[in-house]
Amino acid sequence: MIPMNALHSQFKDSVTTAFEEILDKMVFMVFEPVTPGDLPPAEFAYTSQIAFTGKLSGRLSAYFTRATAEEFARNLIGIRRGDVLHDSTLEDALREFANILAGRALALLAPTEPYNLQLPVAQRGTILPASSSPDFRIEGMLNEIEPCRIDISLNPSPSA
Amino acid sequence: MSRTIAVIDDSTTIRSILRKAVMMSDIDAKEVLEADNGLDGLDLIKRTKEKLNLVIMDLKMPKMDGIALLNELKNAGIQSIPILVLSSTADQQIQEKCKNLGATAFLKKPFSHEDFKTVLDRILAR
Repeated sequence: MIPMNALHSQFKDSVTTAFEEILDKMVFMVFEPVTPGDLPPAEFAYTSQIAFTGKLSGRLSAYFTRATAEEFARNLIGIRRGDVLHDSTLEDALREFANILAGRALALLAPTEPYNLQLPVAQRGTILPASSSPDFRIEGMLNEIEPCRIDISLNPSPSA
Repeated sequence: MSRTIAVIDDSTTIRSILRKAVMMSDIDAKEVLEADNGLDGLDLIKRTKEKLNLVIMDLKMPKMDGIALLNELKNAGIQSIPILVLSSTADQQIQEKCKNLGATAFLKKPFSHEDFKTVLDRILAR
């Protein structure tokens, strides 16, 4: 049986790998991680969030600046710059991003373990996670210019 | 040969990605039909089965999930249309279950246009 701390560490690696896969395959952006706390001050304009349950249960929250969210959605869906990007389209893209990210990360963590994903949400501004201090954080720059942050808050394990 | 394809997924984003990926591929898609949940997807397939050349569907959908949809199609005897199932989470057991219910192939999210084209070519060459 893997100790919970090791499982958390593996999950952080899985989220990072899944995020890089999405960027590479579907969004065509490059992520450069920074040491948590070293991210330049950023105004996060959009949040997407999804809860999951299984061997690990918790919540994944991704924070985007306005520019990143728009470029993310345009690249994901294939909407050219200059063409209208409606808020509803952008938010749907961020919801789907959270869905794919959590699903892929959990599949990488434990390919044979069943997990249940709840419906993702996305909205303007920031949605505070259940715990204001996440269990782990991944943050860095997208395409070298725009800050981005992913927080994971895990529920206490039943045996804890 | 012009083809008609059904895309069944509750995400507008994924339907949009798939519609564009189908149109950008060289499979000569004449028509892409869409449904945003499993129940409407079942209805769409039943109504258009004579002209459908491919169904692309998600596993996790409101009203009727992908497994239930595959089950309904099997029970209705609709098994000649190739079915591509998309999922980010499905483990080997679920994939096997889908194949036993009539799914032709599986594509994991996230996928690139290249991944999509490869699996599409494989399915339609059968």
